[in-house]
Amino acid sequence: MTAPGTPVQGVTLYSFTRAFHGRRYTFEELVREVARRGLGPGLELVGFQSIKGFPDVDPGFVTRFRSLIDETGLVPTCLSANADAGLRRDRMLTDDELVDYMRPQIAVARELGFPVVRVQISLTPDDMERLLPVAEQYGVRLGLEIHSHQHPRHPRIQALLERYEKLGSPLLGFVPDWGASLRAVPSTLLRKYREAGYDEDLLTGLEELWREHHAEGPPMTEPQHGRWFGQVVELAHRHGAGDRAIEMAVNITGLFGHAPASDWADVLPWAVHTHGKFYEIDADGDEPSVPVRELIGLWVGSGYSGAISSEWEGFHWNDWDDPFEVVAGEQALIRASAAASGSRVIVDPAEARRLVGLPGGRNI
Amino acid sequence: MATDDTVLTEDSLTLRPGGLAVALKVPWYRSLWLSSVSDIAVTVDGERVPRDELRVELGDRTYHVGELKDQWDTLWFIQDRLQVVVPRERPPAEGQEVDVEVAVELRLPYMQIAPMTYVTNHATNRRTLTAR
Repeated sequence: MTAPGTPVQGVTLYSFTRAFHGRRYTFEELVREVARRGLGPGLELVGFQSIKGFPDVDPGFVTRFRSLIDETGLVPTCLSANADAGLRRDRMLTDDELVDYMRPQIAVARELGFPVVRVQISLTPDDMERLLPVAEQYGVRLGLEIHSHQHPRHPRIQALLERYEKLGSPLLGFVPDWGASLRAVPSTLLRKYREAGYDEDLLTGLEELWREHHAEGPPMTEPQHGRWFGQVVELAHRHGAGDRAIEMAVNITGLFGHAPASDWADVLPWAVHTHGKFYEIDADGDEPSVPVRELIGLWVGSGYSGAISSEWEGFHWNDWDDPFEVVAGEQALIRASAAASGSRVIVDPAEARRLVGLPGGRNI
Repeated sequence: MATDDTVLTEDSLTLRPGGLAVALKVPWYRSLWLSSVSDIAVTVDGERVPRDELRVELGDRTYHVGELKDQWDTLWFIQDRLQVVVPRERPPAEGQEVDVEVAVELRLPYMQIAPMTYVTNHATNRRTLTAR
């Protein structure tokens, strides 16, 4: 029997997008605020969000970032990279170009002291195999994010899993994102649509469609997902929400995934990091749309001792809640859930560093 | 991302010789290559400005809106502003209030839904701004 895992508490700065985008914090101020509020020790960044000029990062930034980490005691966990295969308008990047596009992002992760690089579904099993020597060169792990509308049993994810098993390298894995396993449409989104003046029939219709899709189960093919997308667009048009139809379809069919929590079991042994995606915390301290307790039970039960970044995505529409407070709320829920599963969450920086820190520290 | 309210800020409108400039924030959660910008439309006091008359500035470079699609090696950082320069026959006076609406159309280069088809984001933001 696997010993219970002890996940490491952390946060991604993505949760604070609105504050950073609105220039209420500089990057350094935001990192200090995270530390001051005890939302670490794990710290995740989106390279293309937090770092100007990314992935061309000047040595001055590297020095400043390292002293910021020393000062705050935070532990770098994951640098989120992007696989911009559609960078050019005339054609998609070739496999060679996409591998070359990822390389400097992986190199920067090592320079900044991140042990894991989140990569995205644009990368095929062949691309991941070609990136393995790059991961080996820099001594970092690559985690392909399993993000709604993908899910653990999706053929593309299964193909990656098969390749990982064949290659057998500890440097290739997944970053599960809990957004693939919702149990309800977040109420804050419905509140936002209601406040924007959309009629109740539309809101009810959106929820009904989501529940129908939920009963069907997570989409196994792109045409199936395309059909769902079309249903939401059609419903939105019928209710005069034409200019918002695409956004509604992206939210309903793209963000709020349908995978049963138990589907994660296959891929959890390959999880190198986790996105603790969530949307809202209710008065009882629970997350009504994400089954956090059940997910943590699985994570702990599988022996997972990597980092879980609290990833609040409610900011897309929720401009009234304090992002720091909702993140603290999810972290309390995660700690309580781990305790209920007979384990605990690591909040001590030294323990966190031992579990998820870059092996050999930051010296290359 | 419901980004409509994030494009313009209170200090977005500045006076330029022969017109004005509107400062835009990228309506997405991360920096994007300029090639991700499919279109920018500006309406001033209810009058749509012809696209060909707009000039877009980022750093020390200037583009036509139609040229942005080719700029796949220039990054629009999330905390930086694009300045859209709008010629006006009668520019507003300093301190004058102007009704400004902008629409930004993005194509997200990492969110492919079919070959050469990507998720888009359309953000429209209308505000009464004071010319500075």
